[in-house]
Amino acid sequence: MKTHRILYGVVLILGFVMGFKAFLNFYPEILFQGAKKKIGGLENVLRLGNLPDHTSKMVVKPNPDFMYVSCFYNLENGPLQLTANVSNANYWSVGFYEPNTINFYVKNDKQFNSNKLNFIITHKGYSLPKADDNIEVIKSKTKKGLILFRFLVNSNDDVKKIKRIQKNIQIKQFE
Amino acid sequence: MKKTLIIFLLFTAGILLGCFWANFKIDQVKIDSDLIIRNGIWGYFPSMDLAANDLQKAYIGKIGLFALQDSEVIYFIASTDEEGNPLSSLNDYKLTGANFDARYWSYALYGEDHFLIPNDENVFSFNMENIVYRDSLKSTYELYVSKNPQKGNWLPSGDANNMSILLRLYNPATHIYMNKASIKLPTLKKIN
Repeated sequence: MKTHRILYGVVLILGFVMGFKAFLNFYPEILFQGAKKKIGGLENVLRLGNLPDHTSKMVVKPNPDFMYVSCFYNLENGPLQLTANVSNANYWSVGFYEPNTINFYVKNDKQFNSNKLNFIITHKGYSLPKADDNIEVIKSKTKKGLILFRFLVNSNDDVKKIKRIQKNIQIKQFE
Repeated sequence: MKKTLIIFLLFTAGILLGCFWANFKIDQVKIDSDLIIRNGIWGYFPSMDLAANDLQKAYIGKIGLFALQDSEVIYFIASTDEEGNPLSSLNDYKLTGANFDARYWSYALYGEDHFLIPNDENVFSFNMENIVYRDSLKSTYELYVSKNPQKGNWLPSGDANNMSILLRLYNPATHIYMNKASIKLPTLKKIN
């Protein structure tokens, strides 16, 4: 009887520890999937955002000073190429996120040598032919993730300008 | 057979309790956690290396999904006034602060649900460019958080409880990184 009680106690504690660890581990991924669903659920498609306001409910704590461009990527079919021509005096940056919401890459306007961005996003296990020098290769640990551009808006003129920039960002399968 | 059933039920109960406790711990981070360092009313994470701590990763996912690395931005968050009371639109507040040595900084006000608060003015934030400074050197400013119109920098608080103010410092100077716990951050006083 005593052995049974010890066994039951161990099973309960084991379940508790596993539940605790699993919840913490998967919770960010659930939030990531929730955001993806709210944004439309499409992969490898750019979503051009307006200035956030109180109706913006896709991602918590949006910055009302930023216009965003987001893209949930999927590298199942091979690498992707992301290009853009970003001529803008205000702060802007591009960040890459894993599905567990970790921001594994970020670079801002001051850190680029040119207005013309040219990225190849590839899974870390994928062997890529040598890329041109003007192409930056992003090696993603996961096949899925998020690309997020942030553009600072200081005036109404900026809104028009950034909308033009948003429209020239492109993502396609790398060939 | 009965023993196997008891083991299964206990294991399932353990998992459920573990999940419940994890969710509780996530919510507790803001109240009582070594993960958040305080500088006055402002809290910040000493590191945004989310890979190092599952609890921090989960908490940040809940309150600020898709936050950036601290190499790019420092986030300071205030959810109480100087007296330690939660921020509510039933009260008016005066934030008094100074310019920051950063590429861009801003204050944005959020409701309990971590979204922007509806208001007739459609004003949700102030930043280094649009805030009105008290002096020509652009060194200090006052910002009012209130549901009633205020002169000067007015951040409307609509109808919300348990609000929070997020201060974002993008590309701050090295001395800010080095002194996050001691740099002078704004005060937030209840004025009604």
